[in-house]
Amino acid sequence: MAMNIDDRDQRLDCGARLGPLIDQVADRTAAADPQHQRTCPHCREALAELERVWGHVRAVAREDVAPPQRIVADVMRRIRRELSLPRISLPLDELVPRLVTRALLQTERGSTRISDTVVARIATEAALDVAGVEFLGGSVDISVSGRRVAIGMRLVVEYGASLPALAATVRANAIAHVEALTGLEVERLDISIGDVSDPGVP
Amino acid sequence: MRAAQQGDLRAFEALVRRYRSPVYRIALRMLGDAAAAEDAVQDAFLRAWLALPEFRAESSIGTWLYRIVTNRCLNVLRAERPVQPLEDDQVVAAARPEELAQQQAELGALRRAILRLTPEQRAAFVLRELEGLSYEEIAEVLGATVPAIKGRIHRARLELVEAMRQWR
Repeated sequence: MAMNIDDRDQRLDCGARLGPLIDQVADRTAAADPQHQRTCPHCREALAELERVWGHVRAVAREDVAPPQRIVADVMRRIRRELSLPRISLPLDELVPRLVTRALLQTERGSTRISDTVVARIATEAALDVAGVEFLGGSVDISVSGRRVAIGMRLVVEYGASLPALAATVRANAIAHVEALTGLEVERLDISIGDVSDPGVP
Repeated sequence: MRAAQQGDLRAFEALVRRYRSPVYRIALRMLGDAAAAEDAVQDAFLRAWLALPEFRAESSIGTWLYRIVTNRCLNVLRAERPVQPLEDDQVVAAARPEELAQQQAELGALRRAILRLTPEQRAAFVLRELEGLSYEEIAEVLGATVPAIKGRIHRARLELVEAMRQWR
């Protein structure tokens, strides 16, 4: 499998090494021995063959391989999504008291507490899944009492969508996800639309 | 979101627009598959965004982006068993006049030969022969010395000459 490459760096019948000829053609550098190359039939034949191969290499290099148009929008959407996700890297002493005061699900065999970070993250993901939502501005506000929760979020949306319809879709999707995943009851979800993205950006 | 961050986003979007083509070309030629290349480009730009605070103007932003996408592709290639992309050259070639068919078939053979190079050789070859970077730039992108890069490219060239010879 792993052949010794140098075995293939053969000499031509005139004694010239093939390797330097390849680099000469590929890098378009000057011949090491121009006088010999001009007259030697072996060198001339090898150079012609190499020029042919490198003609193909240059043809591949010239091929028009453009990325799909949507790639910029896709990249920016992923970055905005990254920016929108609530951070949970709070120091522990900050996190614990917050947890203690958060949503509480009582059962006969114990209680479950769910922090507002969890609720905010689920609501954010559900909102970002709605087509037309670009990203969420600022943090998601969560206020909880017992098992009931109210959510507030700010959206930046794509230009051109009907804002009331978009808000209704976001509201329905976010409420459904939060309720299904946490077992909490979403009393209300307030949306403010802070901005629309630039129109006409591909 | 803060105004500064918004401004950064717009500046970064301009950067993505400017470099999307070479970054995509590198990924496509490294991976040989359009969908995989697109994923690699997205990952590379996302990484670039996250690493932007650490970017120092020691190298050009282009060199830095090439390094990120090349490393991304090398990781993909090292992690996965190489999948030979389906080649439709033969199908295309059959419909063409003979000389063109020959030309197309040889280009197809060359593309396949490039995809058979080791990932490290392929990276150096793609940056040199297809993107036209200097040996010094490639050394910076791949984090190797100039003589090491020259050796790698030389071996890649020998492999390709050999492959094209066998094909004939």
